[in-house]
Amino acid sequence: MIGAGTMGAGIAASASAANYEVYLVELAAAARERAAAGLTKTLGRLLPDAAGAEAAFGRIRLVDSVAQATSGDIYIEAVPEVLDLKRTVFAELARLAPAGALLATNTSSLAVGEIARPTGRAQSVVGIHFFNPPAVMKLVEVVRAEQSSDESVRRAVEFVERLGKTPVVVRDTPGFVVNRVARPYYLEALRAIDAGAADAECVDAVLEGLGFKMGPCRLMDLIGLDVNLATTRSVYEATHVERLRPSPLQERMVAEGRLGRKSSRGFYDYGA
Amino acid sequence: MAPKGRVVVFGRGPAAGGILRAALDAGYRAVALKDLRAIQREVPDAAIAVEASAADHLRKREALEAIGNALQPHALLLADALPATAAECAAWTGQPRLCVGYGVVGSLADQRVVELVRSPATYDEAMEKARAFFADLGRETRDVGDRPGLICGRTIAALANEAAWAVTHGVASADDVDRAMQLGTNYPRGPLAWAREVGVDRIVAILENLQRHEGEAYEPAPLLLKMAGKRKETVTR
Ligand SMILES: NC(=O)c1ccc[n+]([C@@H]2O[C@H](COP(=O)([O-])OP(=O)(O)OC[C@H]3O[C@@H](n4cnc5c(N)ncnc54)[C@H](O)[C@@H]3O)[C@@H](O)[C@H]2O)c1
Repeated sequence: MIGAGTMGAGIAASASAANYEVYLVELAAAARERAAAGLTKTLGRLLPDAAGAEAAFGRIRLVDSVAQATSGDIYIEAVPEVLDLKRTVFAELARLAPAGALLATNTSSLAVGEIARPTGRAQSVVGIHFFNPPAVMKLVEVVRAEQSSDESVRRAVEFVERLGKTPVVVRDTPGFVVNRVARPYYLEALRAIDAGAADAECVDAVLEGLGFKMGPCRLMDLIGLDVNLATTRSVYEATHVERLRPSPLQERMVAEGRLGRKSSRGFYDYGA
Repeated sequence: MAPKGRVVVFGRGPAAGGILRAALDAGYRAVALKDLRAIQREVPDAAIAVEASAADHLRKREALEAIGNALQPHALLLADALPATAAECAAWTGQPRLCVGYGVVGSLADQRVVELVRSPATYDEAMEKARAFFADLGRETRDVGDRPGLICGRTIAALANEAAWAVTHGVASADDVDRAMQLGTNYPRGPLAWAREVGVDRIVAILENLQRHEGEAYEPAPLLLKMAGKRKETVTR
């Protein structure tokens, strides 16, 4: 597991809870410390039996370079969402990982095929896209890039199933399934509000009244309007379909620093 | 308590059925109307006429004209404002002051909040009657602006459309798209299963309404047209 941030640490916990031996590679010392504390907590929740949780914790080795983890069967990258960073990691994996290893990226918005390019073994590269928080969310999108082999996809599916999660195989297209198909949930709300048809509270009430757990405005406030807008932008810029064009209202709010809960103000006020 | 007025519900889909059932449960004398003759016969005795036609635009217009013709001057006409705007519906009735648009996507049983929308000519009194009626059926109401599809319709239809485009583009199978959306988001149903429940022809009608008013971005995906049993129009505009 490369990168021990929000996603990497959670994925490592799920894998060790499912009896995998895990090397968790993290460059930053501070992130390693945070990850160690987070792992204890997550494993405690995943495995209520204290001895089991402790054993699972013992199956994870926190290290600071891929050079210390050269015997892996499966490598999963979860470093920040920057193409060059990911490519550097994959170039390193191509040098250090065993020839038969499965190489996977947890990217949400980059093309798996692009990330795989510097490896020279694109047939072994797939996306394994977890959702946040990864230890809890059951869905995992297994991304088949153009050059991914059937065998690589099969191994990724099997891995996800062994974690007790539900794999859905998707093609390497912008936003895959979930981040793409969810766009209208936010965009239609933003468009209705921008057109003056309703305010945020009304939109949320109507949609929560239809069974959505959280209305789109409350949800954008929780996710962060900037993070949500970045996802819409990345899908739009990769497709240029009018349906998915980012909302000018959301762009204005982000420019004004109305980002949601984290800035105390988004569609709603959260006090200072 | 004074006996409740007579309610007539025109239409066949889940929306019509759900409103009829809720009205009966709330103690109204309610009947379903299936055709124009039934409209002519029953609407003159109705305190509240609910239009919940199937998707087809021409038939919806025909029904609203017939209901408007037969309606008593103190009655309320509730028009389904998802496949056409409230202003359009109100104009078709010829009784725009008595007409209030409402938004119920599928069965009312699945919907706790109902959007209400007025045409430029709708009387305040009609709005109040509409609020009271839905309150009587145990529903909250919200007044919203007259934008195509209202909020409930445009959201469910646009989600189904994006899901259908994703299938069309080979991103995943229809079942996998629904499974991914249910597990990966907080949605109560997969978008395509939801569309089937509501009626795919109704989803297409909502998209076509959006397309008419807001442009090509709402063009229904070929898969939805196929599911609705419609063939894509090849006429160039
Ligand atoms: N956070 C989410 O909700 C979420 C959900 C799904 C997918 N993702 C994707 O997962 C990936 C990681 O996201 P995150 O939220 O966990 O990020 P994060 O910033 O929390 O963690 C990234 C970690 O990678 C470390 N890192 C950077 N370069 C490294 C290297 N060369 N070797 C080892 N470690 C390195 C960083 O120090 C950091 O701790 C991204 O691609 C993101 O798009 C995130």
